[in-house]
Amino acid sequence: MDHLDDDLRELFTSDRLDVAVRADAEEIIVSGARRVRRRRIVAATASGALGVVVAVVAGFVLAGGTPDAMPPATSTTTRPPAASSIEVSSLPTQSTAEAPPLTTTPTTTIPPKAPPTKTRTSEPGPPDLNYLVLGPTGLRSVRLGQTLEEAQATGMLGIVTSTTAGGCEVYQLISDDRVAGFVYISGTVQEISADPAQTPQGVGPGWTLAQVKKVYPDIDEQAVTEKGEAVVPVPGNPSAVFRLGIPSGEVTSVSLEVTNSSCWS
Amino acid sequence: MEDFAEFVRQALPGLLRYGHMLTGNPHDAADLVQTVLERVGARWQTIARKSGDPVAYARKAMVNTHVSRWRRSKRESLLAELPDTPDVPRDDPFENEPLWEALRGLPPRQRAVLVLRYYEEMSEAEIAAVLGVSRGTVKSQASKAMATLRGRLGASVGGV
Repeated sequence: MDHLDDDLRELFTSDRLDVAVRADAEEIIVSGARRVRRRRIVAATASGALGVVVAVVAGFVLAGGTPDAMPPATSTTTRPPAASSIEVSSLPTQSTAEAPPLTTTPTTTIPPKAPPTKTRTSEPGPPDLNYLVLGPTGLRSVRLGQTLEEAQATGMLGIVTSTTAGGCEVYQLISDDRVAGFVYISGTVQEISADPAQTPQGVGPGWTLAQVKKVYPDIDEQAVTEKGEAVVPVPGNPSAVFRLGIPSGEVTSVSLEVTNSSCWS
Repeated sequence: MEDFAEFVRQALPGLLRYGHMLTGNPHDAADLVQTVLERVGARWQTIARKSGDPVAYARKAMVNTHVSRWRRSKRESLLAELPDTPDVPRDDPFENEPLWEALRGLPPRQRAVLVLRYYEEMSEAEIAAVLGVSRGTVKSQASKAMATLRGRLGASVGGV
């Protein structure tokens, strides 16, 4: 017998786990949440020509309202995107394009009886990506379901980087210098992740959740909030899913997996 | 958003501690808390209304985010290119503490299971629900984790 249980309990309640909180941590998070919210609702483009729409959205976010009851915000000074984080970490997001330096919300832009809708007519289209296409069955010649030997024969597998992803071995993906990624193999190819890559429907890094939702309406928004990722069906391949990493309002990663992949379990 | 700011103010120290036990270091804890709270804040009205307990919701989201695949695959790619050394040497309050070191060596999900079990005092069924896995998986992950810890602790003191 040992006291490992008790030792763990004691460790987890130790005040040595305390992390010093920066004085402005709360502001950083609140403005970060606004940024994520903007991305969810308004598509971010590099043009920055969305001042009015962004201002309206930021307005109701600040006022704590819902889209149904969008009160004109009174004092809505929006900080530039947080370039730092709570304590010692760096921001996991890149936030240059979609952060116009807002001043006050132009209340006149809110229609008197605005219908409660999340779809705004002025919403710009998603970014037009020009990345390698991942799916519906693979990336270039490496495909889901190939045996290890078949996959190796494509010349697209590099070194094994990990053997800890559940039951899968993780191989570096070798393609060309446009893309980096990993191939997960357990007997056969279970998953392919590539960065940057786009789905055949054009979805990839920089797409907002709102934009993704128009292409893959079944995406589980709650999963995106709780995990920062969600799976969607692959059009044309019923035995696979796309896993989209959407950690902060925008797609940052795309992977293609067999349904019920044996990795990660 | 007023509400949310107040929530952040009150919950932050506890969530950072929680992140520290999940991730094993304050740097990743801060990163995890920030990522999760930004998402929670973006849907604050809904979450505040529906979740009943936003702190519990945030914790659950932290656990799931920490073990999520996009985050783990991010690690993979980092590992592939960089040696695993901290940028800046820092004071580690747990320096040379064998149990903490052993915990840090566990895969994220196994460590999460231990946090849920010994900090949150959750049952196997509750842990399974939080992580979205079967009870059997929880059981096997927990026993794997404990065996690894015992092995490492035994080794660190010369083996018993």
